Amino acid sequence: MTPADEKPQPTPTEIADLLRLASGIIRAQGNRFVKELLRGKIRIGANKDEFERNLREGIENGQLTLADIRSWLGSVEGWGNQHVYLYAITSTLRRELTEPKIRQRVTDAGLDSVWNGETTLAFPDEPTLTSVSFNDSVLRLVWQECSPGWTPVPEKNYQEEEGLDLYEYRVFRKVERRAITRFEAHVRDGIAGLFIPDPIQGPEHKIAVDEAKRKISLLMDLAALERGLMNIAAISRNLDQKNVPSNTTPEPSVKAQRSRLASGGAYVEFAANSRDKAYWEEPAIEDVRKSVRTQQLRAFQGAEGVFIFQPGDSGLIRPLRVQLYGVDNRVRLWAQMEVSEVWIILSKLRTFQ
Amino acid sequence: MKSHGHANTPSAATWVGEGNVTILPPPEYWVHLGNSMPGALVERLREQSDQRFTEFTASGLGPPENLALELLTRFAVDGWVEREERHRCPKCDADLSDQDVAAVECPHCREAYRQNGGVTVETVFVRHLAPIRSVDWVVAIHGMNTSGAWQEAFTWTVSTTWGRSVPVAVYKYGKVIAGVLMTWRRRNLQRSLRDKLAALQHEARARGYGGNADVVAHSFGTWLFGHLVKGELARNPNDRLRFGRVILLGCILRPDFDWKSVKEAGLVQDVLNHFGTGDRVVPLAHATISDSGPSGRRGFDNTEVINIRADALGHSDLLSIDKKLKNGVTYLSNSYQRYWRPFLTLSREELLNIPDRIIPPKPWRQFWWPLRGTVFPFFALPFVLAAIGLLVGIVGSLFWGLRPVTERVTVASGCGIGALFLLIASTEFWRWLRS
Repeated sequence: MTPADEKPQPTPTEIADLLRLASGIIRAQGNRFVKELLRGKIRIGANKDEFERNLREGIENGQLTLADIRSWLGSVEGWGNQHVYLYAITSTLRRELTEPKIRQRVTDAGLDSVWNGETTLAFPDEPTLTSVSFNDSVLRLVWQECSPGWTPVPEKNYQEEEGLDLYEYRVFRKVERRAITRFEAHVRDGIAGLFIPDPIQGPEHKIAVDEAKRKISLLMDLAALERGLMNIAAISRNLDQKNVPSNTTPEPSVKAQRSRLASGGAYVEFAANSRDKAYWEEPAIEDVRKSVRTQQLRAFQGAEGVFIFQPGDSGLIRPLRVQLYGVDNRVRLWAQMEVSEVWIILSKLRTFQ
Repeated sequence: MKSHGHANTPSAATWVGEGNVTILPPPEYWVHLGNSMPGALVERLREQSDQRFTEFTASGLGPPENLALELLTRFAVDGWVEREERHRCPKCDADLSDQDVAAVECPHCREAYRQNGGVTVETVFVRHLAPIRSVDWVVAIHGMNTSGAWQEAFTWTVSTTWGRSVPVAVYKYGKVIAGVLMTWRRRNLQRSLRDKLAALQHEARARGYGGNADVVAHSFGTWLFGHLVKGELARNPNDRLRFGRVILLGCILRPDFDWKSVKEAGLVQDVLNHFGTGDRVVPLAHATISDSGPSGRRGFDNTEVINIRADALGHSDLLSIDKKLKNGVTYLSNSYQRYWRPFLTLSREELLNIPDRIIPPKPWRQFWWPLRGTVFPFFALPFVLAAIGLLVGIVGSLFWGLRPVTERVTVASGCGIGALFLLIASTEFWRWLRS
């Protein structure tokens, strides 16, 4: 090895930062993603303890650097396991979304401090806009929040009697989670998405959406963006219809595990019992579904559906599950994904408008 | 799967592990199972299996559920299904993946499983049958010297088979007799057929029928269709008409017709040639119609086509709604239920299960060139025209002696018609004057 190839030893501060990431954020990612990070760098180990020990050693001896983790986190953290609001970027809006204009608006909004902000080590307690960037015609906004996650530990639950009443105490363990909310506008491709992480649920979900929109409105015409909000009900309906088998496409690339077609005040729902199957894999159900023809579709709004995108379709290498909610035009990505997987699916959904 | 002994005398161990989760059990398996398990339950299971269920549960099969579970376990041990455990959240009933089950809380409702009695486990028995093939729409093409009365019965049968609508387009080109001998007439008919099929395909797509049409053709209709797809090979791939599965009846295409190229080009998916060994019309085709042959009497030579032999049946017997089997079923209905419907709907792997398949033992040898319907029209057409002229002459000469009588009848009736028209005109004129 030549001296130029040798990696500089990490400083104690870097090691401390990396260890913090390792104990929380890295472990929060799915196993398959962590293996990708570690493959070829350190030995992964056979169990959890070995894995943690090897990870720590890898950080301390400089085999795993902040740069490695930074690029890896960029592609896996905050992708998948989230809710997405999809927008088609109108031509009017597209003219607004240029780097000089965005840069100017960032300055006007007093957000210079987060322009091209580095987010790997940020752990704000409140949802905070930590980065705005514009590269390769993609506008990116990232909010981060070190949200306390609570995992139930039922084996530590206990009951106590007080007087005549019995009380049950349920125990939760605090886990360090970093929730990432994103807005990405792919200007060249004409598609944008607001991504709210799954852990943010209920009223907090709406607060996160409102907060994100408030910041987005500082950078672009929000009304113009909202006009391009994709009709997920129609996408669900059309996606289902186009992926019912025919004799020319006996095995469609998307499996509809569940699909609800609504018309006025009633609906019909087709669903498979198994989470991995399409409802039309049962011949009798397929027969019934086929009685709805394309020309009759306009009588139905698709209400919602769960769809499994099959490997091989547009570059996916594993089946991925997506739920579409027509009521609030929301897409839910069920598994943790890589950024490329997310955009393959979202781009595909757009074609079914 | 190994072959088995006689259905009535299998040993209990014969079937263990011998099944296959991708195909339906054969009839003898059910007999065997019925000998050792409760008959009513076995019958219900068989019914569900024949309906191509891909998933079975004890609750869906029973009652009694304990026996149903025992039967399904046996079905699994024999290899026809796989036992699976499906996990559900005790709180929200969401279907859980293995990864979800390994966690403490449900990813859907965030409730701890243990707090709600633990993950619910459901036992299901699954198999992986190939999906049945979809019949989207069908085209029926009749033969020469017929207006295709069978098409009506066939249309009715197909359109009442499925719960959904499967339209059948009936292509009629009228009665053609001498026309089939003439090249230009055949070309015109072929062109008209193509125009019609292209228009139908366009219309079907617009109406939401995304699949390709399956085709049923009889006699000269098989010749027209075969030559149409052959002609498509010469077209730009984007302009070609494509079809699904094709059923040929009383076929007069050459037994060495190049179905391989047609299939490889994706112009048709599969071909079934159903023929009667008592067909007396088909053997004449090779000598009278250019580029034809007796495939509807002996089958196609290549393995690209499924040849189904019907002993002693004639040219149109398979389509007959008048002739019946001993059990009262019409020949058409029998052909449809036993052969055509399975052919249209089974997956390609399962097509081998269609009964009465044959492969001709010897390759077909064509006639010497002048005898292949090439020279025949040059003799046949003058012969037919001269015979018609001769017939007219003979009949005319017979009527010539009655000329005085016919002249008087002609004049008298002609005057009568003239008088009637004159009276009508006068009446109209009188009304016009008074109005």
